[in-house]
Amino acid sequence: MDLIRWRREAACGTDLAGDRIIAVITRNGRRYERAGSIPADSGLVVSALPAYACVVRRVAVRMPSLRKALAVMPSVLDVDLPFPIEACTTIFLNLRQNANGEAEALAAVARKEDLAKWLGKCKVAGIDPVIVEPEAVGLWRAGEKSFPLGRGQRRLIVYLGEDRISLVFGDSEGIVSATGLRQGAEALARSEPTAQRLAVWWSAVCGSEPGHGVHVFWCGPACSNESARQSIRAALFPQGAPRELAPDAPEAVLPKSLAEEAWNGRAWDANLRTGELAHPALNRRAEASLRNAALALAASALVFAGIGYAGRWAVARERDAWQARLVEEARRLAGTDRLPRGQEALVALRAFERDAAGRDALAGYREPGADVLMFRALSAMRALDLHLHEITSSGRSILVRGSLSDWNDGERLVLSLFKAGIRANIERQDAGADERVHFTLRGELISQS
Amino acid sequence: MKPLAGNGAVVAACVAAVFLAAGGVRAIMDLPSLARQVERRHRDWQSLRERAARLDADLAYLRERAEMRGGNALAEWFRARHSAWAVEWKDRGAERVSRDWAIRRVQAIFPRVALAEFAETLEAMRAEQSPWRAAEISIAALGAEPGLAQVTVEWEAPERVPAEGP
Repeated sequence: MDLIRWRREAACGTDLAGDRIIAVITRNGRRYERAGSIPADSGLVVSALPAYACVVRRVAVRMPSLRKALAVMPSVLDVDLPFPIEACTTIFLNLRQNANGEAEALAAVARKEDLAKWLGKCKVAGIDPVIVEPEAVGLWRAGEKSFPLGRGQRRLIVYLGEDRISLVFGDSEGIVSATGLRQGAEALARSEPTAQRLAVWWSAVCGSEPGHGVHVFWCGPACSNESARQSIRAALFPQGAPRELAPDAPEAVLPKSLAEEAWNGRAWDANLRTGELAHPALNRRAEASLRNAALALAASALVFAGIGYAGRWAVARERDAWQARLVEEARRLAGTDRLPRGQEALVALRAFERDAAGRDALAGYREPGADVLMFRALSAMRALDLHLHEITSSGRSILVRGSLSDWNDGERLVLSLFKAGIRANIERQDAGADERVHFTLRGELISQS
Repeated sequence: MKPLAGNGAVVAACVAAVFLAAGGVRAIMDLPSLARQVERRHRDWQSLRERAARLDADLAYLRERAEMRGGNALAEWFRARHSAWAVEWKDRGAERVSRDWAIRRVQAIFPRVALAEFAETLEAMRAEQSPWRAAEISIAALGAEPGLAQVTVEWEAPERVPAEGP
């Protein structure tokens, strides 16, 4: 079973009038059908724990942090309870900051023993509720929906059942208190002390002006019992009955409210059936959620690992491809296949450096021959009156020894060579016995670049 | 609710998730190191490739020159053209420039040669695309004989040699 499917398919609110089931089912959240039993397709079934089995009251803690206040509220509540809170199932609703700056919530506490008894009773009647809501909450929400409360107004909801009576009192801020009796309307009508017990509670919660600003909302399967109603009016409002509200189909008010809450999901907040008493379907759902979460986690981890491994595989493949290229190039350059792994480049570079002298010779071979420079220089010098004694050309340099007829012919020689692309320095000696200026010239081919 | 230990599928899935995630993390953590390896290999390959390309170009030039017309028999070439020239030939040995190539060097001394004629000879050699390159030329004038000189030329040419081991 799946909670989402329950909510989408149907929701069923239930009430027990003695052994009789009053069920209200909705399949779309708009139309509500009444039934005398729980049909197979009832969807999410909700029941209400009677007010006599559930303590409902406001708890206020002077703490600015709602989260921290919620943590201490059970301890605060424990002091007021006649039984240990560990033996109870507790819910806190409507947590908020009140006008006094306190953190306030509506607490609903039920003894696990009482809840188990109620579940047993439901089971005997053929009801297996997934959610058990405090009856006071269900009734109050029903009243809010039927007749919304204005500011300053107070409301007393009286549920008259065949085997129980529940009273819920609240104001525009929500429920103030609730009480209940294990006696039905018939017994109430017959017994004055029973009504007086309710009057005691009423005077405690309502203060000095019991009728002021209060209206009474009647509901329940025994709502039509006028004697019971009169007993309550007499006990609670001796000065005169306040305004009364009468909903349509008062016997279905509670189950309809429960069905509505179940349909819109609000019932989950008020579910007392938790922990060890939780519905097995919830356990199954929790287990399924856990299993699904674990599977989703595993699937995510699988995808993550897949991405990681795929990335590593791709990069490793790229590395191997470059390694293969590197080895191939290194083999070619080193001229051997015997290359230690990881040192291919090093060995190849060493082999390359070992042949550096040979490569210089090779580079020299690619240079223009000495004859090119030689004949370029000779052409440049032809027009001048020179006696050449010796001329040597090697690579890009040239050495010329000779004599000039005039000192100034030296500049003309250098200029002429420069025009031919040779940068030259000339050293001249004073004219000797032959009356010529002897010189030594060193030239260099000017780079084309 | 059942304890977690009782739910075998959940425990197995969680354990698998832990191992898979650990594996994935480890694989991803390996990526920077692998990327560095790729980068290093690429850099090494590029460095070798540049050197190899230079060497290839040089060797291609050697092959091209070695295949040029004119042949390698320099002395014979000169004899065929200038049988009257006295030439003193000296083999200066070969310098290995790669595994299977060397540069052979030969010195030729022309004790008395007409410079103009010698220049034409060198021009002819170039025109015939001889593999021999004049690495060094030295011309010394011969006293009072204009146009005549002693010419010393060091030639070099590529020569294929038996491949040497690494």
